[in-house]
Amino acid sequence: MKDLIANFYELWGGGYLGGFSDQMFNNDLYFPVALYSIIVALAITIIYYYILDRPNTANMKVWMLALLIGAIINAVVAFVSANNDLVEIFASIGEEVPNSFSYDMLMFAFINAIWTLILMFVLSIILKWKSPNSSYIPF
Amino acid sequence: MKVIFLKYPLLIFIGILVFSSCKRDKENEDVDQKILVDGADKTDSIKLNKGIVKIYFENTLSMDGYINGNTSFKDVFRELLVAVDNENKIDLETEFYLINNELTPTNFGVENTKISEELTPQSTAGKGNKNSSNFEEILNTILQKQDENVISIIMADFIYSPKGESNTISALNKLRTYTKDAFLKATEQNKTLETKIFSFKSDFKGVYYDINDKSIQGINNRPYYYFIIAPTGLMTVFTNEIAPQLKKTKDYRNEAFFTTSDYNPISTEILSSTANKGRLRVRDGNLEVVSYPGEENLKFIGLIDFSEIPVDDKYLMDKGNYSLSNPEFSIKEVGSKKGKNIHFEGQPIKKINTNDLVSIINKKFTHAIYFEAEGIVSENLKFALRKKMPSWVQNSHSDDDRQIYNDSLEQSKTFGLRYLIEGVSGAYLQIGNDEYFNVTIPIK
Repeated sequence: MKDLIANFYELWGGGYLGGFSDQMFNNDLYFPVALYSIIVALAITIIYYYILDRPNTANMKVWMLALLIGAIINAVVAFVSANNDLVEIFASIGEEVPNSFSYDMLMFAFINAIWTLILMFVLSIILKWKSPNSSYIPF
Repeated sequence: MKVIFLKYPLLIFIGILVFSSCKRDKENEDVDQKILVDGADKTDSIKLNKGIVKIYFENTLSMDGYINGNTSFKDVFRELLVAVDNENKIDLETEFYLINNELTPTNFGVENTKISEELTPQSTAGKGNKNSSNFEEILNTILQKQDENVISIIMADFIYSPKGESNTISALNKLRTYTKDAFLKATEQNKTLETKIFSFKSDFKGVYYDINDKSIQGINNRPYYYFIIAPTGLMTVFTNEIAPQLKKTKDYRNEAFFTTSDYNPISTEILSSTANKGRLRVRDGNLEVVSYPGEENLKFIGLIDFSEIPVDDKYLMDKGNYSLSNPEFSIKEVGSKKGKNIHFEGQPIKKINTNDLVSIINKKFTHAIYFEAEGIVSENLKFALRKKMPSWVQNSHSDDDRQIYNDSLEQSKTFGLRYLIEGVSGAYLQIGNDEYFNVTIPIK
């Protein structure tokens, strides 16, 4: 499971970010971010199809806005979570988080946002059928 | 407020999630995270509570020069007696013997810590035949008396005396074979029996007897040796509690260790971000080469914990004592890890990258090995520390000591030493394996 999640975030080696990726993997920091991201994606999709669901929200613009919100939230979750945990970990040995990690955290947040978009798209396909007004969104 | 909840449930939910993510503490916050200080936290697995230290002094004419007046030999001997007397881990009793063709127990009528002061050519005269120095017999006699609660310490110059043998090489081969035989018998009876050899030098005020038994005067410094033979538990006590006192003395030179034990498994960690050439990914002990450096060879550092291996640091630091089963790899350097730094001899101190420091939290490492790989790596990295005779033995060995008076280098050597120690080493290698440990690092 640990390797599987790491592979998603490191894009099977293509998105490996050196020391940052090592720390995320070695300290099991990928898992909580993945869990939060799945919950957020699932929650926003459910809210879109079954709570917000109105005739005037059943269009591509609002659906895409929901996806964008999900992606932004999960990008923030990824950045903040990684940053907080890494600051703590490095503080425990009396060191600061290396400067290069700031860029790596942004990359990690971006990758998490992309996976959120993909996940929300898949969830939309699965969940849309029973929606009273939005069952034809996105198609 | 109620209106906000109804109108913006999504925003509130998101807010809670983000807030909790920001505040989340690390699960293992209560774990005391620290970098272990090198050499600290040694576990003591000694179960013995009583032991006997039998100290044997080779009572021959060639040893008189070491005990004539105040010599460095006596200083070290005094340190030994005091260290044994003050050993608190277990209750150690000291017995002192003069050994040649006879075994003479004595304490010269004084308390143990004062024996060194009483040890003189005069006080040892008339105790057995001082012309006799048959090491095969001496070792055999001592090994026969080697019980499970005994640490035997033999103090001797270990200069082999061919006693009229016309063929010196044949005589030396005989020494090796009989020594091996004595140790084989002893280690077959007790497989935990280990042997350490310490080399010292001392000022010398006496007569040197060369290969032809010709007496030579005017040699002022000579090496001598302590052979320590004990079962593992007692050897650990000796190594940790007594040996450091001897190694602190100014005339200590070298050490060798022989055992049938191995020390697997041993803790290792590849550093992915410290002084490496090429990009590495280390996952659960597996090494993956993400990319190779342009024109240079792949290089990286592996940390290793040698704290449980009772081998001299000089031996550990000699890269010639390691074997690599994958010919693509070689060892560039062996260094020591001190705190957050790595010291390779003759090179600037390398600071361990903070990223790697985090990876080794709560892990203990004492040394570092700098590996180099030529070309694309196709096999796992396998390396081992071999049980070899240390190189100092060959450097301290002499085949012919007749020119000793004029040759200062020869004065620091011991005739026949290599054959004697080869005998010891051969016995241990025959019974045990030939590696202290071996490590495999899987490479993807």
